[in-house]
Order: sequence, then C-alpha cells, then structure tokens
Amino acid sequence: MLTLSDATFQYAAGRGIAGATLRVTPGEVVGVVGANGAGKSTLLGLVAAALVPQAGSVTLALTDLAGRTRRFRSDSGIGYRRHVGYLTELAPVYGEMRVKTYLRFRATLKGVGFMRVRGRVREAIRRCGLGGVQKRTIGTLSLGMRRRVALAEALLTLPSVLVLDDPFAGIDATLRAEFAEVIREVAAKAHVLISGHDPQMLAACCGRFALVEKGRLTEAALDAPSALARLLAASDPARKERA
Amino acid sequence: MVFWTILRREAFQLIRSVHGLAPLFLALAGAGGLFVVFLYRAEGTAETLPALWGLATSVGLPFLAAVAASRGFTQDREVGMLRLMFATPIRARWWVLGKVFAAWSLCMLYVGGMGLSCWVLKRWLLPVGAQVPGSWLGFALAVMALAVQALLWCGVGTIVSLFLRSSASTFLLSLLICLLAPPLVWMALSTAFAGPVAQWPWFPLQTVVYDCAGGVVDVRALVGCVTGAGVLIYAAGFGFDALRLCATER
Repeated sequence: MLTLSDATFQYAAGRGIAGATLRVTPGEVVGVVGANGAGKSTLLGLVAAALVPQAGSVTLALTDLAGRTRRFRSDSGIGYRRHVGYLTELAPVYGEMRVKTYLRFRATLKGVGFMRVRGRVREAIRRCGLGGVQKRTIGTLSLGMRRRVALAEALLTLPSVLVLDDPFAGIDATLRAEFAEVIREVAAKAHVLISGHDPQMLAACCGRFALVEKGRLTEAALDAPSALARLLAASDPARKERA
Repeated sequence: MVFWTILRREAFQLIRSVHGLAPLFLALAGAGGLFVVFLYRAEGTAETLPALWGLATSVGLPFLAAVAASRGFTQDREVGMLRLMFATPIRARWWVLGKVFAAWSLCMLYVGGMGLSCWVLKRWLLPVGAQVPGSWLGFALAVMALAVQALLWCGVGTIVSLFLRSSASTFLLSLLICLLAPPLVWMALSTAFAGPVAQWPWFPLQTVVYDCAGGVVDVRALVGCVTGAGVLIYAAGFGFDALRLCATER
C-alpha cells in the first residue's frame, strides 16, 4: 500500500502541493489530472522521492512472500527509492550515450546486481520495443523513441511504485497505445500514478482519478467522466459558474 | 561500483566532448610554450626543471579545472536530469565524487601531457652535456602537488555547478574563486597567524607548492589543499540533498 498523509511541498518561488492525502493499493493505476501548474508534477515528485515532503509523509508498505510487511518512508534514505520507477515530464536521457549503454548505466545506479543487469536491460528493451535501436546513440533518436528509452529506464528495476509524469505528451496515437499496453502490463503488481491533461487518454489505463487544483488534492476517487467534467469546469470559469 | 560507474561515464563524456577537449589542448599548448620560455631563459641549463615544469603546468590548471568541473551538475540541470538523479537510490556523495574525480582525471591528463612534453624537452632539446639536476623525486612531488591542487579546483567547480544554471557562469565563478582564493587565504592566514604580510605574494599557494626544485614541498599548503577538497566534496553532498529539500527546480 502506498500512502500519502498530508504530504506538503512548497517551492521557494511559490505554489507546490499542500496536505495531499492519497492511498493506492497494489495493482491500482491512479490518474492524476489538473490544469497546468496545479501541482501534479510536485505530487508525483513526492511519490517518486525526488522531493522530500516538508510536512506529512509518503509511505510504502510491502508484503513479502513470507507475509511480513516492511515499511519504507520516502524521506528516510535510499530504501524507498529502490522500489520506484520514475518517468519525469521532460523524459531526460543522456543523448550522447547508446540506448543499451544508458540502460546498463542506470540499472547499475539503481542497484540491480551485476549478474542481473544484462537480463533486466534486455527485458526493458523488449517491453518498450527498443530492439531495433538499442545500439544507436540516444541523441539521434526521435522524441517518441527517447520517451520509450525513458520509460524503459523507469521499468528497469521492476518497480513497486511506478510514477509516470505526462507519459503521453508529444507522442503519436500508435505509441500512446503501446505505452498504455506496457503500463497495464506493469500495473498488475505495482502502485502506478500517471499524470496527464487528457482523462480520456488516461482512462485507457487508469482505474480512478485524483484531481489536483491550485496546489491541493481535491478529489482522490473520480471516474473518467467526472474527472473530465471537473477539468473542463476548472479551465473554463463561465462553464464553472453555469455548473 | 556505483562510484566507478559514474566516474567512467562522466570522464568518457568529458574527454569525448569538444567542450572538454578544446580547452585541454589550448591549455596544453599555452603551458608548453610557457615552459619552453622558462627553460631557455634559464640558459638551457634546466637547473630547476621540476619547479619550472610545476609552475608552467600550474598556470593552465585552474582554467582547465574550471572548464571540466563547470559541466558537473549544470549539464544535468540543463537536460532536466537533476530530478531523476534525486530519485535514484544512491547517496548524494557518489554523484559528487564521480563528477569531481572525472574532472580531476582530465586535469591529470593535462599534467601527464605536460610531463610528456617535459620528457621530450629533456631528451632531445637540452644542449648536449647539460646537467639536469631535477630528480624523479622532485617530479613526483610536483605531480602530487599539482594533483591535490587540481582536486581542490575541481571541488570548487563542482560545488558551484550545483547552484548555477549555465556552464558559462559556473566556469567564470569557479575560475574567479580558483584565482582569487589562494591569495585571499594566504593573506588571511598571514594576518591571523604571522602578523601583517611583509611581502605581497603573487599566487602564494601555488609558488609555495611548486617550489620543489630541491625536493622541497610546502606540506602546509598541500594539507590545506587536501583538506579544502575534502570539505568541499562533503559540502557538495549536503548541497545536493539541500536541493532535493528546497527544490529550486520544478
């Protein structure tokens, strides 16, 4: 179980997210929607432990095969981060490296054992359809392919928490469908959070939606039509008044 | 393992990029020319070969260290990698150490290149029958002095790169610190512990460090460099964690 309890993070320059409370069960895919600048990326940054909550907490409880439960807090060292796969909004990659080399590099940093690196990289390449370009330099690939590389990187450790920040941005419909398929495949055992601006697109892989408005998590369990309606209302004041 | 992985990537990237190589060769050429001038001004006798070599090499070192270290975290920030690094399950100090030692490796390549040019000069260009009093010990001490000083400069550049947004401003600020810090530290120490400065020292720490013609190295200066580098690397680790806490980046 992934639990956010009153998690708060404020940027020095202004808004972040305040008092976010959310629970995600294993195998559940939650779509995080909201207007630009509402705080979605900050919320996902907290879940990915890229940001440390200034108040509240983010906790992951995992049960092993023997039935023992272990708890990891995002702000207490690297234990939590070992279980996280994170695709950031910019999908950053080192453009001068080859695809396979980059994935091996990241797998080593993420604590994948020396003997397992090759297998994990091969699996991530297969999953994300990078077989044809694995020896190419990342900088020479198209934006869509680079996003695939970034997604493959997020999947390297078979994460228990998968955080995807706007994974469908800037890619065509075919690739979106492929991404959705990969996410559904991974989601069977993981806690997945995906942000985006289009609830209809997210509906292809999300079971429920959380709505972020002006730095606050206002709804945690919306269905796709409700999320869409709330989003439209938030982006159009006249419509909001009519509603 | 993690340290070597980061070091290897950073060093290869640094050496491969034009950004790293062009200043390296410019610095090598400049320092090499200076070396020849020094050598022939000493009437070809090469009386203080290790000291001259150390001094010639040291001229380019702050520039090269500033260039190499300026990439550090600035490039990661530019491509948006910083947030992914925050979420990576390794300690901040490994990032810092990997980047500092990658920049340091480039500086040591430069020192090695200068050493090669020195060997070539000694082997082929010195007048026939000229005696070269510079011992291997003198050269070894000079290399050590250069190495610790380069480490300090690389530490400065890396910690600066944590907080600035562009490579150019990182380069300029770390170069300024590298050039101004030694006289300032020297003055402060002299004022605090040995009364007013009697004689204005030009590049005091460097000239003291490299004055090893007779095998003499100022241990205090070397210890100062090593301690400074250690403190900077440690502080940079905290700086990295502080960025995660206050996140100036969205």
